Amino acid sequence: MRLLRHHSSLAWPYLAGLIVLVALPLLGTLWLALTEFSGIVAPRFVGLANFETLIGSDRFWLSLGNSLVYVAIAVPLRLLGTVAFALLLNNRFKGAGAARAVAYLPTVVPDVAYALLWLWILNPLYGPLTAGLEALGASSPGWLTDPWAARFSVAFMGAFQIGEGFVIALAARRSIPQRLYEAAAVDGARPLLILRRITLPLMAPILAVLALRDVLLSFHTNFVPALIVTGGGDPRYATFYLPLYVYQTGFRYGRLGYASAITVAIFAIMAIILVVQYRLLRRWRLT
Amino acid sequence: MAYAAERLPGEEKKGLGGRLSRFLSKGPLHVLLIGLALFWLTPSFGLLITSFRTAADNSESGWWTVFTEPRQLTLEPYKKILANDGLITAIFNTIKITLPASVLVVLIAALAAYAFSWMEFKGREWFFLFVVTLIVVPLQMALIPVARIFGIVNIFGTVTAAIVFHIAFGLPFAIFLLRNFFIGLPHELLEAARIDGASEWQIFARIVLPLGMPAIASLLIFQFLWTWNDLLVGLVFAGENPPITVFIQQQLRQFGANLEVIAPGAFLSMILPLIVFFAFQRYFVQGLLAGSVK
Repeated sequence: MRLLRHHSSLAWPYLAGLIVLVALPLLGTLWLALTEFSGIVAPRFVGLANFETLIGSDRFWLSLGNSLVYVAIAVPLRLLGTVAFALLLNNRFKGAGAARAVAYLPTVVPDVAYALLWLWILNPLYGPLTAGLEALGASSPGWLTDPWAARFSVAFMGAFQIGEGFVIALAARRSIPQRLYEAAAVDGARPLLILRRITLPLMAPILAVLALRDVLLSFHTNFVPALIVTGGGDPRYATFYLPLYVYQTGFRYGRLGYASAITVAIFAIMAIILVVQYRLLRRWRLT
Repeated sequence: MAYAAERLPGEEKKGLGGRLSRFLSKGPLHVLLIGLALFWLTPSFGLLITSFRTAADNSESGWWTVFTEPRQLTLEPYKKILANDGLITAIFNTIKITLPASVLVVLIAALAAYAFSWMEFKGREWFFLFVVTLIVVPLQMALIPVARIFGIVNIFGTVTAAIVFHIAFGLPFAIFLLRNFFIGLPHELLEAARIDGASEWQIFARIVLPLGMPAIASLLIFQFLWTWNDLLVGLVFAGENPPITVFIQQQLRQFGANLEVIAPGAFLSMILPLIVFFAFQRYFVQGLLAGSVK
């Protein structure tokens, strides 16, 4: 049954809002990226000079590499946690509501407080993590002094804050019709087979959206930990991520034009990642 | 899996002994779950304890020392922070921003997602692709230019500015998510309703909304939490009416790591999101799809 009506006119308020609040500002940043601008004197047009500096800048490539490493560690960890929690806590049992709240709790802790707390947990002298590992007879690396340990620590911190994805994955699991599981039970299918053939494929379209978003967000969410926990990208710039680079360039050194150029570069990189992901999702028929 | 977890009627045992044996028979799983929960709770629990200690204690030793010296615990930090008007105002500002921003995002996104999944119109695919692409726009990119626009229409620094910005940047993801949920709704139901002559509004209100409730509830919790936790937008746009996250951040700036204000402040700010979570999570538990399609 076809219903071709002129519904597209309904979209105009939305489109207008997008243009004013999203598209125009984007052009504004693009323009600033082509200028030298300190925030005090009017911007001076310099063409592509900022981008030339950017390509030759070691700090840019360093922070990009660090950000990619962060995404590569944090996103799989977070997705795994999201799916595992959604499946575990989907069942009805006594205290399920409380258990779901526990899963969700770390996400509600404000970022600054959360970062300060981890600073204590990762403390090499009195921290409970080091103490716990030593009690088990294992030695622990200097969590915030060894470059790779610091990279993992920051990613690990982020892996606790998955409450948002968790509620959505839970809803996705809930939307799978119960009759499929009943039919599988009648056929005597094993849990692993049910997981592979029913649960995961039917949750896939939603998990795909979550993964896509998580990759993009992970380029930004490491700002507060990098600022507070590793004190601005230490040790030896191992946690010097892109947002920190933008922040330092723009707000500490007052080079707003160059900072805009970095932002535009990040945007371009994320756009490429989005297109690749979206293509893959299309090919797998997930969207 | 959910099926296997439900108890069969004959298995029901009464009394403590029965309960205990049932608990032990599922022992390994329970131990695992409880262990995981404890592990998961550690950071938040640490924050809770920290919020009941004095500044001096917090600078000298970690929160876990209360297990050996429980006398450290005190209500002082809470008394002090509740005497501070700034915090209460900040919590109210957050509520004023978060409630309209999350409800409007969910409402608009539900309508748009319905159109993208179940109505045919010219350019639907392209328009949807455009919406998806917008997810990629980092909100940092729009801050300075939007601040100028808000200055022109004279809402800069107000709660409204933060709300409008949150809605604009919340919508692309919300639409994408709900559309992927709605497209999985049973085809037969919607077709049947159309054949029976139901209008689009009726189909949306009577079929899509109730069936999509788990998705809508989860999006609402999601958006609520996202807006509630936001620091950047509040910092830039609602400067004169700082939300709670900005208030906590300011404590950090002014006095170094001011944990005895930050920890109780953080805990007070966590209460409402948890209430929202408890209030809406029951929508996941009801299996709304059960029985609607044979």
